[in-house]
Amino acid sequence: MARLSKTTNPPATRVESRGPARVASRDTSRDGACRPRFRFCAFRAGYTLVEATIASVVLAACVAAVSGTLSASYQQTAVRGNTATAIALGEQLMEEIAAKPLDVPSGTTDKPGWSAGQVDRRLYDNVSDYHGYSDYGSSVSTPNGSAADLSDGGSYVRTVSVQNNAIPPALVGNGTASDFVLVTVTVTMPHGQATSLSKLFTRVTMVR
Amino acid sequence: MTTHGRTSLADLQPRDSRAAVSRAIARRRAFGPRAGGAAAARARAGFTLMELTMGMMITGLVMAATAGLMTAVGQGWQQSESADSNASAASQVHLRLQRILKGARQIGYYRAGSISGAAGFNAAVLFWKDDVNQDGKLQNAELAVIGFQDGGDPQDAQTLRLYQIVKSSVQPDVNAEVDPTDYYKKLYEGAFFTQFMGRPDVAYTVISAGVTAAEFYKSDASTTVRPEFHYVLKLRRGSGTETEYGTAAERVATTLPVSQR
Repeated sequence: MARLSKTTNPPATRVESRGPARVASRDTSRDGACRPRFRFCAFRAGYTLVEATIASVVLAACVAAVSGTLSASYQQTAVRGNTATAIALGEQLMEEIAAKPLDVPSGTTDKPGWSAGQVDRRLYDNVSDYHGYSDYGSSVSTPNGSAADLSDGGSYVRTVSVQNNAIPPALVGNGTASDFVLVTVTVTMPHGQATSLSKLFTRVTMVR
Repeated sequence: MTTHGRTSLADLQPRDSRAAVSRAIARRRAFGPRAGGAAAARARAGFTLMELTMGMMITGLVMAATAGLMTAVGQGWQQSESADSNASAASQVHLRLQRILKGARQIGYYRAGSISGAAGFNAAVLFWKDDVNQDGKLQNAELAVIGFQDGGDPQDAQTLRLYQIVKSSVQPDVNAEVDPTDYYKKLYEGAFFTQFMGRPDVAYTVISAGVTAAEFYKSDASTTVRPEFHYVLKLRRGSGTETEYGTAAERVATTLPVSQR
């Protein structure tokens, strides 16, 4: 009986004596019982610093992941557009080179090319003249001297490499090495990516 | 009532009942006669108006952020699709022009036009498209014109066109040889170009739509092995334009007329 009065009467007495207004300011344990030694009840408390930090980190990670994906998507789109422009520029120059013979027609004087200091490609008269050629800018000069702005907001660098004696391995021994020339046009895009086009030219005799 | 120092079940039940009654009395004294019910009801109650408002505001913010994200993704897709479409369209124009011009035997009269629209006339080029019957001679049916049409013609305005004599033509001179003198020098005359374009049996097909300006240039000389034809096109892209520049070298060019050397 002494134990019974010890466990039941004191809380009842204390609750009664302090009144209901104080109950709200008491801490509540997990089973819902208020513990008087704490000033505030847990159901009024906010998130802890750790919880808030974790939530912030998770949110930041999600935002970073989504932003990264979006950014990559935009960049990819831009690169695709740049690549299309670069290929068009490369093909244009390659076709221009393809119009030139490996050797100048007999009876004509070979004009100097890029290596000899001639920067005006309108004066080139054979494929080798283009070796080392490079142009840079947002606009490309057309054969009539005017400039065509082909860029989509950036600058493209076109470089040409002409490799002589580029006989394919399968033809070694069956062909003359000097009859083969490999031309590579490399176009560097605004963001530094580069695309290359290669074409193998062979020596043929054309009568026009 | 203990037996051998242990508490029996019969002893415990009344004690527990008494304890519960005491707790109930204490609760009644603390909260009043209905306080126990009010506290329980408060514990079971839903959100307050403030909580609901806050919740809705947060949900709204999250929804707005998600909508913004989705819009950005959608725009990205649209932009990507548009870029692909533009690249594909430009590539098609290049391919068509290259295919037509690389196989040309001779490129004759041409009007340069202007990419800035300052020329006052549209770019056009008359050429021997192919020796279809392999006789080494130029007939009317083997002629073609690539021409830019601005807004002057309401039908298919701003297009790049390929003009040819239709296969069903019943004109008596459709297979007649065109001026055999001096490697078909007539092909280089503006009057002949006008005459060809005025033929009733000439029809066009559209090479490319959405062309707002065009400029042509030809590079040919007595020492030229393969004549080059350069074209600069301004293509409409949404609210703006995009400039395309291409070159086509004739692969099977015929001899240049003496008058043109």
